[in-house]
Amino acid sequence: MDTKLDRIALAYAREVLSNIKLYTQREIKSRRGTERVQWPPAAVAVCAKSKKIGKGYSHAPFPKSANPVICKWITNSLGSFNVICKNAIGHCAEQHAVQNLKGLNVSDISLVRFSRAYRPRTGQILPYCENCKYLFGL
Amino acid sequence: MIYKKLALDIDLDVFCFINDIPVHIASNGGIPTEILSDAFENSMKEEVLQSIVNLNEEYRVGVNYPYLTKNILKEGEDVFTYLRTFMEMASKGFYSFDRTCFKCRESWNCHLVAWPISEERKGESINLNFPKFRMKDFENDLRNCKSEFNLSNLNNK
Repeated sequence: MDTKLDRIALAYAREVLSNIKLYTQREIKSRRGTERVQWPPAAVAVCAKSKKIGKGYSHAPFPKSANPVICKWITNSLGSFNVICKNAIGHCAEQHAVQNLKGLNVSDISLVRFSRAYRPRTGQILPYCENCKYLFGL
Repeated sequence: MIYKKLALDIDLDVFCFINDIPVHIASNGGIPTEILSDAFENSMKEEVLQSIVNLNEEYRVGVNYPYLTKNILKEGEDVFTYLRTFMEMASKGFYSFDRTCFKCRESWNCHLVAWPISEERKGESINLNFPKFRMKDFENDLRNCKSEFNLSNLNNK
């Protein structure tokens, strides 16, 4: 475990939570409709390779992924939904963090270090899911 | 049903009445049971979020500290960080519960985290349109739910 990354992950958890709260309240005030309101994510995680850091929280993958090559590698590696564990592929905080790590190649995945996964609401440490254990050797 | 796609990824604040007592449950990535799906759907509505934001924090709060420190919090986890949102909800008049299990998303074993101490509402009562459930095991007082219990046993009122 990387203590520095853990600290960054906890700070990111607080940031995500506060941003969502502000965003939600703003949206409520502007009366734009419920589809724009966001909810607290179940998990956040941070990863790093050399000095570059990627942060991610659990949510559905965006149509235009931050790193489509890594996104495709994740999908290809895991096959189809629910094979290894029940978490939907591409939704995990770790998988988003890796996709947000700029300039990462598939061959470098084994060099990536991960923080523990945290629950933003409570700061609790979450166990890695089977998909992420398989993908990143956690 | 938007919550069905999102449920695994989010830690939703779910609101309902159990035995006529206002209850808040942190979903912790749980997949809602059939009976809880109404409460999930309702809790995602803009007007519900607005009504919760508008409630005053006017209650003194009790905390299930012994259970949390013994069974829930692990080494290195801070109790005050854990309690923050639950205490906020309890101060607004809700009995605040957390879904216990991380790994089993279908499990609705919950534990009570915080509750409002005063039985009497100091300001306006929580007169919100939440789904209403009944739970026989805790007919008298939800404060008896201080250890883990299963929310799948709810009945529609």
